[in-house]
Amino acid sequence: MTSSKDIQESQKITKSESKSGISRKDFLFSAVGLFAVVGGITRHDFANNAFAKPLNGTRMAVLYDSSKCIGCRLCEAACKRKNQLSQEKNPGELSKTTWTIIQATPYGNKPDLLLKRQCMHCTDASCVAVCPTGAAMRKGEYVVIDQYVCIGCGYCEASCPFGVPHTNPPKGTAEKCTFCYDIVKTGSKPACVEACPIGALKFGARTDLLTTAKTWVHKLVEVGWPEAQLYGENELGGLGMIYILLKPPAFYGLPEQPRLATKNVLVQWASGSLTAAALVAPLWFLFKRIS
Amino acid sequence: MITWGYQICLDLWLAGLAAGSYFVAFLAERFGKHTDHQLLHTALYIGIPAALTGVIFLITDLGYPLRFWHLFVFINFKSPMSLGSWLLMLWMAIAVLIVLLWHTRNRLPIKPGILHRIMGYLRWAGFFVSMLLMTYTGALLAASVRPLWASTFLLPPLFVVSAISTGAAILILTGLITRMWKTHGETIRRMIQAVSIVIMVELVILTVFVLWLSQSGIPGANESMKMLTIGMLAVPFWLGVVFLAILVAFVLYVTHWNKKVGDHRAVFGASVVSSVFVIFGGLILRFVIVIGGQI
Repeated sequence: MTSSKDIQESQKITKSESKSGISRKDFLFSAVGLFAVVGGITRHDFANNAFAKPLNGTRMAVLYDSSKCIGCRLCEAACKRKNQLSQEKNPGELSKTTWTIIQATPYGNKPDLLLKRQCMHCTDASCVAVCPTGAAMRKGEYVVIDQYVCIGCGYCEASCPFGVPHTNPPKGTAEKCTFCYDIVKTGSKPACVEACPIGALKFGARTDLLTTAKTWVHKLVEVGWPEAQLYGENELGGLGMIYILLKPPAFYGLPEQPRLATKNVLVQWASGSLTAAALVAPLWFLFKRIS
Repeated sequence: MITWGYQICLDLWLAGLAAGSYFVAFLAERFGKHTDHQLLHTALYIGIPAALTGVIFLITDLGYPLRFWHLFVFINFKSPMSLGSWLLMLWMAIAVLIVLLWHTRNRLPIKPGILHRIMGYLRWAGFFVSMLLMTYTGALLAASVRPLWASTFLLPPLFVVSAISTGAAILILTGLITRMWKTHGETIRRMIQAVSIVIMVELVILTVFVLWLSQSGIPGANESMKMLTIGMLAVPFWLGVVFLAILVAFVLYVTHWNKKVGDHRAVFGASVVSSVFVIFGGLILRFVIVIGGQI
């Protein structure tokens, strides 16, 4: 039974609430609501730039063995077919409508050395780091560009160490290899891997592929390719596309030490801001003399 | 392939000019103890249309211009483009608010003391946002992998100094054309002295920038430096940026900077010519850097 003292106590609480104008419960709901609105407005995915949890629980990757590639380009054709890209002959370079190519680099009087070029699906992806709309993002361990969000600013094009995303021609959104994540997540292999007739492309758990690749690199060194090496194990936090190369990366036009585009961005902001701040002093010296 | 063309060059130039003119006008008023705010408002009357024009160029450069609003429902703190878009919007909001409040100050239902304080806060906010906006124009390019843009830490300082010099030059030019020199002659004279110093600082930074590129050891940096200094961009670089916008402008300013602007037509003419050189030199600098970084 409620006593008169209890009633007085509850009236005191009600009065104090009405004095401040807002109850603790109201404040809490407002704060949560405001956070939800701001979060919705800003749509900032805090996991965007971090290595997100793999889609299938194990980080998958593709291993390309350049020592086995015969340059048949069935992977190019399969990619175009699967992604409904324009079927031009011998595209020659990556573009909006060519997401993978076989690049042939002359090697003296010997056969050209081949390399399959496409998005490397970096762990520390520059395109994700610089994208101003969040269109470039991680889907599990793969890097994709949302075609409904992309505004075609071209920043990913300027920041990718491998020159992968392209916004034109024709000018529009940035497009690139998606790792066929839409079919990979259901258990299939990427289209290029499926099409390779000679096993130069392998798809599987990244750790397993690295073990296989290291063994094969040792064998290549023994049989007369002393500069054979792995590329993609640790670069940019680890690449989703691992290469077995017969020559150093620079031979193929790959960056020896690819760098995240925003690695020094804070220093760049600081250098500009400090310069502006430093110029205040001479301007003060001149302007204070205005009579 | 050139992804960022003339629209980006114009946007970076106009944004820098708007922010630079505000920066200089704010300091001239604060340190020169002006209370009429005519100089700051002149900077805003120039800066607001300049920034707006820059934004229009930016939007037309997009692959999907009508999706530009996607920039303002998302923020990526690592991306200079994302931060710069928000800074530009913030700068324009502050600028428009300052102008609106000033022109309606006698009709607003706010106590004059409170309004004065609000406007003071807005002017300071505009100053700091201007500093960041000038920096953004360089940080945008520097956060990339193009050797010309990303091999040094000097691109933001170079663009900041260029923005300040072009901003001051446009204020001088406006002061001369609108005859503001009759009421603010001493201020304009001091701005002429200020620009002279700033363009010398720009020359120093430009020299160190070129030397750093040649010695950085980063693949492509030395080739970019050669393209700028002896290659296909050498003519606009040496003639437009170094000779006319820095050396000639400096000589014209310095040989007249102790004279009052209204003293003689030669003083007036020299100041107009050098200001025009500095303003368009800023555009040419952005052109050679933006295009040069993509070749």
